[in-house]
Amino acid sequence: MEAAPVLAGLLAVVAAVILLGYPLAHVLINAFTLNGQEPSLANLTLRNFERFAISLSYQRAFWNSVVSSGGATLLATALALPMAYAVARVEISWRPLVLALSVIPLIAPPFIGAYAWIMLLGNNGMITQTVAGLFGIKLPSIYGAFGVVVALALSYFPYVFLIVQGALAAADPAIEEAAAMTGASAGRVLRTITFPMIAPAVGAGMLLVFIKALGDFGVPSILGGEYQVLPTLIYYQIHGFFNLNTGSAIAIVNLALTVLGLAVLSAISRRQVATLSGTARATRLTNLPARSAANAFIWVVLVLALLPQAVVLLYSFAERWGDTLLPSVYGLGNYRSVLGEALTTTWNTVLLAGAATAACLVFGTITAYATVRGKAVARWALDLTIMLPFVLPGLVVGVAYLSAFNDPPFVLTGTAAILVFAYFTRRVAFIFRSAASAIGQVDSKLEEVSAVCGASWAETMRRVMVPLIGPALIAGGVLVFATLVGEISATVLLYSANWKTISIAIYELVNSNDLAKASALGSLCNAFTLIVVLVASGLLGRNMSEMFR
Amino acid sequence: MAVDGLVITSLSKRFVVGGTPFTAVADVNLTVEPGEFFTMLGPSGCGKTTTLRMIAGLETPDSGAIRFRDRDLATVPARQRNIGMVFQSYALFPHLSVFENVAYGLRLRGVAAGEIGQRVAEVLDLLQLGGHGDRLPASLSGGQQQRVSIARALVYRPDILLLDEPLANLDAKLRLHMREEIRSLQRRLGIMAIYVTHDQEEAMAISDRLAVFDRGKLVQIGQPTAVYESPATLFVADFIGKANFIPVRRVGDGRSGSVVLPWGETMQAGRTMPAAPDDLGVIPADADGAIMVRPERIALDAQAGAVSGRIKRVQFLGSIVRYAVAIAGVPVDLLVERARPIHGLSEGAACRLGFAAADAILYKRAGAP
Repeated sequence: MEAAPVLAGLLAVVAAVILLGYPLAHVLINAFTLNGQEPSLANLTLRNFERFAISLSYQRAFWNSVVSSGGATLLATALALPMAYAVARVEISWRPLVLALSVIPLIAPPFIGAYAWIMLLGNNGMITQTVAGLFGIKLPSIYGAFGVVVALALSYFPYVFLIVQGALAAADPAIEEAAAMTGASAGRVLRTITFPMIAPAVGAGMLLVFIKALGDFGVPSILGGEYQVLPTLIYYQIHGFFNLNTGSAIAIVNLALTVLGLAVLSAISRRQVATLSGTARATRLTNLPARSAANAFIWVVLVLALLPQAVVLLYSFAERWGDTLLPSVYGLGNYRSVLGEALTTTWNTVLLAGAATAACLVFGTITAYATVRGKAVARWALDLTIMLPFVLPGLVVGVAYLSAFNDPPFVLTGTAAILVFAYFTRRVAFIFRSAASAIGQVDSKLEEVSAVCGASWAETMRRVMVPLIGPALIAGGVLVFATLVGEISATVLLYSANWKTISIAIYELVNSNDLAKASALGSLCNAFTLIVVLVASGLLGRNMSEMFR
Repeated sequence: MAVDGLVITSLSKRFVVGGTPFTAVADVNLTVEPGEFFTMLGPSGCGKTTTLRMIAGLETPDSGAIRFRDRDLATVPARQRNIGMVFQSYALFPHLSVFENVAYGLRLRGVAAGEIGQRVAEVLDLLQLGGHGDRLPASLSGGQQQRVSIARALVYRPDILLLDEPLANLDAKLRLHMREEIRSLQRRLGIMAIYVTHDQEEAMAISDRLAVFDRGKLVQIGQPTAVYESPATLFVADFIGKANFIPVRRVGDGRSGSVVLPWGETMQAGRTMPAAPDDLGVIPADADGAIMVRPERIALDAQAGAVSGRIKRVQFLGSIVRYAVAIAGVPVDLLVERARPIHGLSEGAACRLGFAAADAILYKRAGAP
């Protein structure tokens, strides 16, 4: 083993300590100290956590978080499983289009979709008004648990869909054929063979949705109204009461829930059964009833999931929109009025997200290499430290950075660096994962051959490894960048006036009820991310959905 | 008419690959007798596996019929055909133990729990898997996984056993061992077996009869010795064993089978048959046909023989020695196989060789005299 990978491993540990351990330690200390008191052994207290026992609003937020995330997970799974089966096992129409469209909810920031639901189902929403006008029926309020669960489920269901569809496509079709040959009916094959085989993938997808929903701030802050969840509670403790200590205590509870989810996730993914087969030729149902049902289901889900983005686009062109179903006057006025703001915030976003993505790429690849090719002893430790931030709720990262980087030795508050570091910490695991799987597929003999031919470790990396894993890295980098463009839950606590991002600008417009301008800015944001992903998938010659797996 | 066997008539299947239609199986006719070990042999993409999958009911024929015991299988779904199938990838259920993998078909047939235990134990013993019942497939070696997949296919006493390249993923030594085991198991159970492989040696060693496929068509069907001794086409001759092709011009009245070899020798070929249209590319444009001689039928000596040549290469393969010989004065190389090395014939040495007319088969070009 060369010295370079060992050095890279050490570097990873140092970075993990400063960017993760140190801020999380601050959160811990703050959580056990009262607001306004100096942190010391004598001042340690459980008073901040006591609120979960005595305060009704804390208890509600806790259970609301559990219930809304659980509900969103179940609903997302109910949508995603039949859709995954339909795409993988039925001869449907326009398969590439379906796969491409299914990725859009993951690219578009969820909170943009959330306020589109207000336009549709809010008190003055298009559907609410139409139904009231036609039937005189008053629909239930979109604000609260119902709206949060629906919006979260429609935003995150592609995780279950893509993972399960991938597992179905990768499973050796001969296994299901073997079951049919021994005499099992189609339903029996599905129940006793197919489902048990993909169960680990379903579990992994569900937990990913659960963890994402648990950490989501944008959707509940827009659709929640009085319905508080842990991330919104953190935000109001810090922004409303400037109480970093109670905020930290809530963050710890939020984190504990998430870590619980992660523990289950890793236990499940370890049970993943190897069913990969290179030459598998998928057999698909071709009969008309199956095809019709599959097509209908897929398009209902896709229309529901994409409807919010379509409404945002429509609203962005509305110059006047009174009591009518559709806008009465169309024009580019909204775009003209947000143009200045769009340019500066997009530029800020590109700089911040770009810097973070570049750091993720360099660092994530080197650590992945050290982990895959390195000694087994350090492997699990590295694996854990780098996977943890992947599931850290954005607001927890925000609180941790606010606490840690406000005082010497690291004063970063209000700088661009604090955002870049926060983004880096939240996304480096993504690059790490795609790089690790790409490196794992490169036969280590190729490196040995290169070394035998006289190449140094660095030369082998440059001439052999990077060209081989390059496409995977670019795909990973593009996705990190795209998801950072819409990042709000860490940004909302850490941004400063000089470094306002496009997502914050949209969020402010929504909060001041300027929905037309918010739609224009939101559509620009969506278009920008979509173009980046489309160009990248075109250059790489991959389907967008492949890039997400 | 074979009432008890499997009868395939005019079977055809087309696929569309990337927008272009492609004929996988074209007008295949064959019959498999009860208790017979029948092999479908050919290079990859020749249609043998597609034919097997149509017998299994995993693919639907475009036209033609498959009948078993005088019953048309067209409307019988795979799961009701009572056929056992062994897949190349074994296709073991990864989440079920060895016991449960094997028991799967019995549970579907509503067999009582006690009998399931007994029958699974029986078939596991038969395949030397006793004591492995509790293990998961992933913890078994390739050979063991192979046995489990055979056990799973046999346990419910199917009418036909289909095997799709079952030995392709095993190493050479295990492959030889397993093929003997499969053959003796099939003999003991007296079950009809249909076997697919691209390995001609395997096919000859294991089969009662074999069918050679080429680009979707069934080219020849027969016992291994018959196919080897009298290949229907140059393709079959080349695919089954080693073969020498020598372009010839015909002399005489055209019925006698008299030919002139490139080195001027006149010969009366032992047998004559028309060359298949697909074989015409192998025969040079200026030749009337080609004669085929097996390498072990050519005599090679330092002094005696009709033709003179020079040894280009000697390959010592253990049980045989293979010589590549360049014929003097003409651009023809012949392969010769001997049981043991011939003294004095090292690479570069001059030699003499010859073969009996009875061992030569003439494939004549259509329209040639």
